[in-house]
Amino acid sequence: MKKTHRIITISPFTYLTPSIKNISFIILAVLLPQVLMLFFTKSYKSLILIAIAIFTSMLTEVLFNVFRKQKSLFDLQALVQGLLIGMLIPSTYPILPFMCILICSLSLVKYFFGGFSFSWINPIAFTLVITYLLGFNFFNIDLLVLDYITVKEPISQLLAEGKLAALSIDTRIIDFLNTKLFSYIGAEISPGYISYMWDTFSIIPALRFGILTLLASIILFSLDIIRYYIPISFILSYGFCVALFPQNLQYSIFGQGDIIFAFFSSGILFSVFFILDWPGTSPLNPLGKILYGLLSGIIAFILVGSGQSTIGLMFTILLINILSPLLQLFEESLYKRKLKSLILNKE
Amino acid sequence: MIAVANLIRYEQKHIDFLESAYLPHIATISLMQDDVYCEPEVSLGDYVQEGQVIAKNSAKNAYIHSSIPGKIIAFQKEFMPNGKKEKAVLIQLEGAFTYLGKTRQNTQWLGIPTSQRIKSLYKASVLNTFDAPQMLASQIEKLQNKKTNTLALRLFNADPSIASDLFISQQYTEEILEGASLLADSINAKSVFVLYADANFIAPNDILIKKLFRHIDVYFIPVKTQYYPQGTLHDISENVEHYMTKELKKNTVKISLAIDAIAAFDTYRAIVQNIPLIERIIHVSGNAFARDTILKVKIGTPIQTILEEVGGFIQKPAKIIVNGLIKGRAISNIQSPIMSDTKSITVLSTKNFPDQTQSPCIRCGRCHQICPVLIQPEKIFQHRILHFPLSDDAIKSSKLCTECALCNMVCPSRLPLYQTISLLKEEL
Repeated sequence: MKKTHRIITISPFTYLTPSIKNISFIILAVLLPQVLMLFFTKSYKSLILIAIAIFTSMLTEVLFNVFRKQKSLFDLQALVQGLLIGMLIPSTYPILPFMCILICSLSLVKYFFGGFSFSWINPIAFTLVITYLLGFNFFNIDLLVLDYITVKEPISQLLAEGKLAALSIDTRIIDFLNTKLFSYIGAEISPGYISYMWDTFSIIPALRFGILTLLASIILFSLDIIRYYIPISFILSYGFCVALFPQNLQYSIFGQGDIIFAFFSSGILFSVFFILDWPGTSPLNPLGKILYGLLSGIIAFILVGSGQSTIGLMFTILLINILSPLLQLFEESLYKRKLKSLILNKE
Repeated sequence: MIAVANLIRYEQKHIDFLESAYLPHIATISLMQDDVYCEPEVSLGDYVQEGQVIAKNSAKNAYIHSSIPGKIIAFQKEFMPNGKKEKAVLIQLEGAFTYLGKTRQNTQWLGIPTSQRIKSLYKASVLNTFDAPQMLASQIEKLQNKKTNTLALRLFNADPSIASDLFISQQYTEEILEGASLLADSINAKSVFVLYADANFIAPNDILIKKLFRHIDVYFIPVKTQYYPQGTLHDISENVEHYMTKELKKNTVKISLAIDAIAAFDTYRAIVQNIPLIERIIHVSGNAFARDTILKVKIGTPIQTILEEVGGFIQKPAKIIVNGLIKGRAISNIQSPIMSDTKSITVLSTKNFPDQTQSPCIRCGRCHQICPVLIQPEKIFQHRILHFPLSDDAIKSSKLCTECALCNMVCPSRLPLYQTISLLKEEL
């Protein structure tokens, strides 16, 4: 192999996707309304935990970079990572143990699996699973208990018991959706869904503001920050499983599971849009990504059911992370065959 | 393929006419040509004519001309738009012009033997800027052994942020076609494919085509230039193949020589008009300017002079980019001169300048998904730069790369992917 001495300069000067720095800024910006909502709803404990998660994540990053003698010590991605972890921690979780667990687990991921995008294990899911294993009691005390999932019309039950505050516009929006949209497919939803999607009053911030998560996802999709393959295939497979196998079989019939309730009950959408496709953990090509999404949806249904677990999706992510190298091997073997024919054609 | 509207985010203004740039008070002419150093033929204080050979490398057939008449005032190292500091001749404008403002008598080239034409192209320093600049004469020389050849002429720029080729193909259609016919005749071409921008070209009449090309088959192929990429050799070949097999139901042919409009135009000027390469037609654009301009500029003119002539900036400029937004280069010195391969100057404002901060690869797979030739740029990059293991076939796949730079454009880590693949290609 001969060596050349060409100067490589940065180009082009036009891009189709934002840079990592800008992606981080945009993710922070779309999550900001949820943080502000925590402030307006006086969820100060959650805000403190988020601040601690951000601080700890950045501290771990700086220490890692100091030890590795990296030029840049600070990475915006660490801020995003900290914010996402903070959003998924129950507000009842004790501060000091949380901070210690966070430092240890993030350091473990960094030192054993590699830094950002080099680790095949999702650092957020890993940290949350450790946090859960060392304090599972704090995750189980929540509004979203099995009792509500398995009853007929859980939203109505929550409203009736006063555990969900009904928004004044809820009925109007539901009426509008029923007449203008759902009537065409012969379906109907009961009042309370909009209130539920607006704020579930969960002790875990990421499980609360479903509408804000949806709006954030629209922005991220439109700016091409989230690619469609994984979230859409996840939503399809998980939604299909939920619809097909309802948890409240004594009231519902096969094929009529409550998809909307399931999606907004255990932070499914939040985790799918912000965490599932974490850099370095998913396959690289469309087919691999679609399989990754479909499999995650199925695993999520097995572990989370129709929204009964607040941590199930983190276990799902870790499981699919373990399967991801296999999917990548499969992708690679397909590509190798295609590559051979491409090279032959060229020659 | 990507819509050009997604790539060029500022309004590309319509240009009606070609303007002549101010003559430079001092022209800075590099002594390097196509990476070949040319020994000066003149000394300090000498007076030179417009178009006079001022440096040459006889072994490599490289010649450098004075773009203006004047006095040699210095030999010194200067920053060039290619990012290198090269030895250059500084000529102070003085005296009468040989070509500027003079009517030229056209030469009948049909009687000129091919060897003489090649010699003239070498002497006139005509470059083929279809892709990376190369001496056109040496490309033609290499094709002399082949019995039959095919020529492809691209009448638009591969980079959609540049409009110089498109503009001159509209303004000088006849001259460009004559240049192409001369080259086709010189390489004994059986067919010529003229690829033009779908919406912007009025094909010349059959009588002219017959007169210019005689026994050579000429095919005019429309290209949807509102999409990118369309201008690489790979795209041109695909367009030709599609046109021949689908539209004409004929067998496809391999392209022997691909040239751009400016190379055909320079060939016409060099052989028909006997004018060496002393000026360039340059597209000056960008959102920092109030208007887009096409300028006829003397080689060696400082970029600063051109920017002043265009009327200054309406927005704070971030960077001055030479030769397009896709594969161009940001210049570090505003005094850098126009070179023989310069096609455009684009100035982007700070408001619209993209973030180019490099980060490690995040393995998002976007480069795999967008690659039109289905290679895996990220893997080749990791192999070449970080020495990650890679199969022989995957390394060989770098030869398939058309250097369209789409992988770079979708890379959130801003990695120099196509540049690295191109490097590996050279090393193989």
